[in-house]
Amino acid sequence: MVRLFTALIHAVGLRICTAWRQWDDFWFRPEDPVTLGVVRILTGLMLTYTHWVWGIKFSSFFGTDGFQDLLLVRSLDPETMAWSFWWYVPPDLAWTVHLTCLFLLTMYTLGLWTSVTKWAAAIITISYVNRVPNASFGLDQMNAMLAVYLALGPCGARLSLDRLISVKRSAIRFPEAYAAGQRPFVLPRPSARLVRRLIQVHMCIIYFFAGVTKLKGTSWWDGNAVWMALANAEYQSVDMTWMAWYPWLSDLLTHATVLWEMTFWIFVWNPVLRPWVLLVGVLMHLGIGGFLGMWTFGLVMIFTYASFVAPETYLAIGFRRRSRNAPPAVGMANLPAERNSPSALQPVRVS
Amino acid sequence: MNSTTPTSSTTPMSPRWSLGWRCLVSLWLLYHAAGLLVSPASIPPSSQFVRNAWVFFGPYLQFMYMNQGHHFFAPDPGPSTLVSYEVERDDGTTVSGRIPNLDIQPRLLYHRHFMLTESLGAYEGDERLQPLLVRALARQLCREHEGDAITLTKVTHMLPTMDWLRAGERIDDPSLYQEQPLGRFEWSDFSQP
Repeated sequence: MVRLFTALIHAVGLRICTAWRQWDDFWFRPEDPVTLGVVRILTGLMLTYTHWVWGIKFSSFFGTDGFQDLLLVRSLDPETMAWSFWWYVPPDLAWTVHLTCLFLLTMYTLGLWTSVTKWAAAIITISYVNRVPNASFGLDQMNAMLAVYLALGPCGARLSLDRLISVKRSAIRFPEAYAAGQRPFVLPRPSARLVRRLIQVHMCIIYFFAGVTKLKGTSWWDGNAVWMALANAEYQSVDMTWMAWYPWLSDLLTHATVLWEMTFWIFVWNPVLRPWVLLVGVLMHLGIGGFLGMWTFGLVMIFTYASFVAPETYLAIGFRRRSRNAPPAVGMANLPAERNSPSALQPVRVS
Repeated sequence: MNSTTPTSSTTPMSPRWSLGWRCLVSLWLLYHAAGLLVSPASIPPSSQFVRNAWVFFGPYLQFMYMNQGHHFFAPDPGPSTLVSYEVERDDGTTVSGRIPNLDIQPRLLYHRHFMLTESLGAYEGDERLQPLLVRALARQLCREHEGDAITLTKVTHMLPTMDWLRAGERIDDPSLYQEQPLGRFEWSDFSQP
């Protein structure tokens, strides 16, 4: 009996250890931050554009008595924890603050002062959208999700001006090592892995609920939903009324949409199926952009797919600087020991 | 967690988090993921269990701006809500229009206006929020067109069926638009709180 109990404890302990190892590997195994660099650039471009567009009718939306006056916004949910720095900006300074935000978002996109601008991007994105809640939609949700997650990781460690500056600084400090092709390391980091996983898991949850909630509607069962979306004159940017003569096409696209959304979280983890799953997603979101006029939303959804590409893939296709007779930057450790002169191995901060 | 160059000539060790830190982050991950699941699940119809859970996760998700339902075109793609307006100026001329309209460019700005009017449809029957939104729309449109008074009408654009199109009708046929007056506002009305 004691032996059986001991064996049981041992088996359970083994399972727990295995589960922890898998969990640990999934979330925390250090990896190169190049993926975050790619996602940061794409997100930064979208954030900069999104906030630039606000500026076209800035006072109409952000004016204290504009479309979204303060009384209205504060009445939406008085108990909310939603926050915005716009509550504290005097109207006289609003434009100055807006231009400063655009500057910070541009720097974020370029990867300059990323340790600061990545947090600024998240704060700016959430502040804007909470200030004008009735004018926001899916694009803003995706923008905020990406900005918040990227702020948690080393999104400026690669593909950034910060990286370029750190390389140039090391060249000035250690010219011999630089001439020999040595570059500051970009070490794999757990936070890079964590952020990439957060984006991936969040996308799985989004698609799962996007699919499940469609099951509450009759049009997603009778095949009419895609027709109804495309026949909406306010969304439509390309005349798709010809589909009325091909109802089977609406049926097919409707069922495929629900099926794809509901199974995304299962099949996207399969390395063989992943490219196909993502390809369908790209086509769907391009369709949303091209036919429903929501290019920004369609593109930002596609941008999240960059997180499903492993850093090794980006590095393999050349998303890192190579120099004449130099090894890859991250692979400096592969150099013969004598080339790793101590002078070249001083710490270089990379955000 | 800034990276540094290694201090030896061997292969650099990747910085790993301590077990305690990984456990702490794991607890946050579990809470965060549970919140992301509760958020869309709490949208009605929802169970009492999920609604109770929302109390636990709601403030956190609102703070992170992750309190979304992900109801993209669900449960069914519905009709659009628009607002038409007629502004009266002090010189006797009038300006009429509709938001959103395709003259609003770029497309993203068009969608911002569209979301405003869609909110009007979402607040249908809400005696607290709908008047506030109507008033805000009226005041801003009146200001943009330098008017003394404005009349707003809510316009619901019903979706055409395939049969409708096959019968030779158009998606912008006037019979698909249902109008509901929202009121007439004088500029002086807006000076009162």
